[in-house]
Amino acid sequence: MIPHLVRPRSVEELVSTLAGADDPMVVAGGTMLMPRLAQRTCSPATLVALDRLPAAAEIAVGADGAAVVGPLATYSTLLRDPAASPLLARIARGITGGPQIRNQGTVVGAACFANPASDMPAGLVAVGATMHVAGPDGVRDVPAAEFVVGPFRTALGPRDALLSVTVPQARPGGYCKIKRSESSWPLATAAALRRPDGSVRVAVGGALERPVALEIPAGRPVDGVVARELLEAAREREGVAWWADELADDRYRRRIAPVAVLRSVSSLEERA
Amino acid sequence: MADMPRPGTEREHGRGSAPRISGDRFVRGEVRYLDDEVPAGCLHAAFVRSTVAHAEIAGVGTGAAMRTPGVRAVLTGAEAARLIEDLVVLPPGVGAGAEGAVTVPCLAVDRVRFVGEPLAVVLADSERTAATAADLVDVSYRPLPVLLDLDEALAAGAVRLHPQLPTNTLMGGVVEEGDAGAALAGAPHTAAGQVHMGRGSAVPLEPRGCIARWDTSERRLLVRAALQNPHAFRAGLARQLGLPESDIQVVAPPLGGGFGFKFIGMPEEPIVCLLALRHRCAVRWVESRAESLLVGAREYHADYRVGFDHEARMQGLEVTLDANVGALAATPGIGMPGVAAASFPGAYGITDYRVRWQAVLTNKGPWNGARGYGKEITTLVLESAADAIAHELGIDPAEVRRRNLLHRDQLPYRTATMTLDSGDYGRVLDMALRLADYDDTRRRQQREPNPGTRLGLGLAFELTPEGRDPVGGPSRGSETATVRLDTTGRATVLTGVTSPGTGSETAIGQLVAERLGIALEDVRVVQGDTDRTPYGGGSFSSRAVLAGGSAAWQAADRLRGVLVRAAAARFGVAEADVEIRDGCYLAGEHSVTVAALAHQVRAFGSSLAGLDSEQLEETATYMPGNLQSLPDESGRVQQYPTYSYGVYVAEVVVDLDTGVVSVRRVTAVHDCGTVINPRMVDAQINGAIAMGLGIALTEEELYSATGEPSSLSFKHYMLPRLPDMPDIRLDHIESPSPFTLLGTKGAGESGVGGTTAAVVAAVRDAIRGDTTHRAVVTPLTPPRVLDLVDSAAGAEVVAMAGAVSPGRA
Amino acid sequence: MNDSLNDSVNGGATRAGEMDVDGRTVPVPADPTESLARALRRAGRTGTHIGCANGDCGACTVLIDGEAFKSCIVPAWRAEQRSVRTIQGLAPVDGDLNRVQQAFRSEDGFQCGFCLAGPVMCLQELVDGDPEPSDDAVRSALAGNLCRCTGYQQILRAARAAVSTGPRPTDRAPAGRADVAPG
Repeated sequence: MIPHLVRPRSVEELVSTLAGADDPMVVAGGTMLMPRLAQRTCSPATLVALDRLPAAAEIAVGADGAAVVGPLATYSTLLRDPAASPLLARIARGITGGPQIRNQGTVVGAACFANPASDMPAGLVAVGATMHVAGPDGVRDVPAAEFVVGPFRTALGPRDALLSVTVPQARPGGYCKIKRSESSWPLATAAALRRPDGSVRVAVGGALERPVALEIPAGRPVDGVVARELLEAAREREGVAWWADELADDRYRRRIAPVAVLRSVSSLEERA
Repeated sequence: MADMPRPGTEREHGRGSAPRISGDRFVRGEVRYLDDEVPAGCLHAAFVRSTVAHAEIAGVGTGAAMRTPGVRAVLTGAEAARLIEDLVVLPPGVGAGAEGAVTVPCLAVDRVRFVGEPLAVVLADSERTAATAADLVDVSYRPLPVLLDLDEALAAGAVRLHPQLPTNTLMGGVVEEGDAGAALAGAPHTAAGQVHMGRGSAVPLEPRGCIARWDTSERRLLVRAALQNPHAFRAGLARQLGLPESDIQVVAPPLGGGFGFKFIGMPEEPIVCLLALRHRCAVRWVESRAESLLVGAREYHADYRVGFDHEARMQGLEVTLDANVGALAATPGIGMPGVAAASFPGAYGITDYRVRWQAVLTNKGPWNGARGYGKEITTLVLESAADAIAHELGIDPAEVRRRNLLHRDQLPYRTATMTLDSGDYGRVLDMALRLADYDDTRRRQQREPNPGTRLGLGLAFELTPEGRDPVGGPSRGSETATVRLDTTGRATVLTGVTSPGTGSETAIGQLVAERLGIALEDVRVVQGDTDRTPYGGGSFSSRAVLAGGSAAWQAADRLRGVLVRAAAARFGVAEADVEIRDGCYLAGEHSVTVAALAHQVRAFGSSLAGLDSEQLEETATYMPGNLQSLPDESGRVQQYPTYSYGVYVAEVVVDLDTGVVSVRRVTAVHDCGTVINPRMVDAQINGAIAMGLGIALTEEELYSATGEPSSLSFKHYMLPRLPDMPDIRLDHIESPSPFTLLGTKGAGESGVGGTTAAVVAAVRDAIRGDTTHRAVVTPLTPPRVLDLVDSAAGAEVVAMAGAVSPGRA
Repeated sequence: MNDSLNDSVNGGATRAGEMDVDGRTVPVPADPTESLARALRRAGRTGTHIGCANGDCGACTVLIDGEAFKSCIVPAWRAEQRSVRTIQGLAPVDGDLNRVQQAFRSEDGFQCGFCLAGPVMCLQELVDGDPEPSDDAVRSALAGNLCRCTGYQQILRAARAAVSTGPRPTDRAPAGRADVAPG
């Protein structure tokens, strides 16, 4: 069956479309959805595209320095304006798939796909992003830390769409990604952001079922042992399991995630 | 380095780095591959594939599929078995304990043996309809035990996978010379080890595909198929469909890569042809990437024991080599383990050795060929043994090679299965070490600026027997070419070798252009068409120039004789006085163009002395020497006429905290005898280095415990990309083979096994410590590397890549 | 199949339901799940190859309004009223090759040629934006493409020849993959 395509031109139209559509599926950049449609592993009755929403492809920086990332803003968009969010731009530079995927893949899409073996969801947690979700009842905000709830699962309901993401004003960030080879999705990533009080928040991605954030108090020395302890404590507190897939098992990810933490913090220090 | 001048004149054999014939069409995107043809009104085939690894088929419900609008037919395995003969895996007498020939149906009839095995096919008026309807075919299974590993398949009481075979061993044998047992018993030292090579595949970027149609006017079956061996395919297809071969035309369009993956013997192409024949229409099928990644190759387990003296000289070698060849397939891929065994003991001159090998069936996907064709596992085993000797005696691995490689004065050198033809192994070793800055890098290894990373250096000698004469197969080691000159002064070469995308047609064109004295752009090379070209084996075993080029050279040389005689008659001079230069035949003040000479031969040949029966066309068949199909008095045979070789040095950095390996540099010095087109030979080596890198580090087809393949996209089967590539340094020497017409040896496979072995050695070198008791495993993924790091350290290593203290608030 | 593009050469403007492909008007397919790659191939642009249909290999790369995309994972409707350029649109038929094509031609930047649209179109995007890109930028531009034949060496050589000033040495760090960089 050929799905029906709707490309709303306003948030209101999007909301009413989602409320009324038969079996809707939302598409942003389409990098992950298109292969599934072609392989018939999903067959929605309605495709709801976000590309015609106002300012869909833009990143708008407000007076407060916060950046609103539109639903069609791609990795390339982040790279064209790296000051809007240096950390997210850093993630964008390192994604797998080359310039073509940077031109097509979106921040919003990566967040919604919620692949544990990816780094954008954790990057959004690190920067403390707010996710603006449109649904049948209008628009609501979800903190990035609560957006991804499990492997390939988010807080979005079946008639919800992630409309945009607000990233607070940029602060110095550190980043580390560990992957098998250029073709590989991440095995572990860590994005570190320093607060004004000197404490550091590190969000770990790629290695767990969903992103986990840990806090490093100002001045606390961190080595491999401490990084592991902090990460295990945060992981247990949030009840998140290590991730395993074809690229690496959970034992390996558990082993290297603290290395990513350590390296993200040291790159933060190098930058400072 | 790559384009440095080489010995010999540039004019000889027309050699030189000529750019690719038809390069213009490639960069314009105008070359038409199989998928680029969609005949008007054609129907589309989609295969129904098993979703379980091993089961009896309890029922195949086709009702829902048949009722789908646009579906023309659904053919089940049971129905197909009445319409098309089985594929022949092995002729009588080859399968281990088999009564007669070992065969496999195109579509599974009563039992499936791997996930993805085709068991029915849907024919519909669109690709999408065919695929959707194939999903609707309802197959019920009665599960059988799933055998994935060698141990499971070889266990006493394991379920028999194939009724024609008494065990799950498809075939096997022993390759030996001297008395390995006695030599090992008497050796002052022995070292033993294990080698596992993970399952991988050749993975050309273009998958397979087939378009067949019945020509009602000519009453012929016309087939386009992305295959490396169109003539051999036609022969098999004629038998399967009960048609005369001459009623079938097979065209292999330009291939988007082959590497053995497009050898014949898979079931889909014959089924597409059957559908076209039955429905009297055009039928099209193009393999998906996921389908292509069901096919495997090179999953090996080897145990070796090597005996050596205090000077590191190898005295005896015992190897057992078990190949997990997956489910039964009729491809030449299953021949790889036997070739691997026959390629021992490489160039090491061990007089007492014994290699026991077997190919074992399991419930993984079937094998097809893969560049290296078994020689890559031989290289990995031999080089692992050499490194074990170095470790045991505490000497440099390079020195172990130097002391054991055959000296050039010992060549030609006979083993049980090979006569190594020519070369200077020691010189190539020394050149490679110099080019790689080997000694300097060894010194640099001692300085460790970063405790979290280590530099590793590994080297490998690789022998690649080439130009195979596959006795009992559908084609031989010989090749035939026709060269035709026309009255516009252009030549057409009709050759039975195909180009899988390597550009070998350019080298063949160069040979012909030089013989005739015309420009390369005035030569057209026709390949891959059973109607137009002489019967030929197609592409395998690096034979395009070695066999096909030599035949074309011979045919062109004869034609040159015709032109010289014509020119001599025209000028009234002796043949010896005729010169050929810049497209003209000259003698003193006389000059005539090739076009005019050709016209003269065609129009007036009958009236010219010595030209009465000459024509503008010659055909020649060339068979390399140094082959022995029938066993000699000692039982020795050899299927390969010539032996390219090289030395590969890899420099890697291992991240000890993550196990991630970065390959910084690969250095190769290579000898494939006479080089016709240096740039294209370099290109072959470069591509092979990338493949070797993939085998060593990233590429693996994995399965779940119940036999579902889990590496069916490039996100999981990870090919090297540009950022993964090291700095490559290449050099060559040319030791012409005394057994081939032009001295060429073949360059299509060199570097796969050498790079694999060198990178693996470099990683183990970086880790240091005692890892010799740990099996050599590929691919060396980061988790596996970390296991080795722990093993060398004797405990799990806690990441200590420098403590940090954040928060200078 | 329709082997050639619609004859009407448009002036760069297309209407709803249409896209511009190499200067000609092509209808956007009705099925919204149809990829741009398939739509282009149906319109005769078969130089745009499909090697994976999964956005991994890059053999289907085209430029949409100047930006490189893997057209196998781009829904065709995304190109509606936009300009699509394929490898077959880089040079006029029977006209001279463009700069990138010429470099790949003279340096043999390919073997089987199946992947060629990937590196060629990515390089085209790069030189369109910066005629003298750094060597790092050249390498980065090629990272999304798979080639199984060349080990990327011929491609890199061709790419360097295509950028006007050739390679400019950079102090590129060793190709470590456990990469660390400040945010």
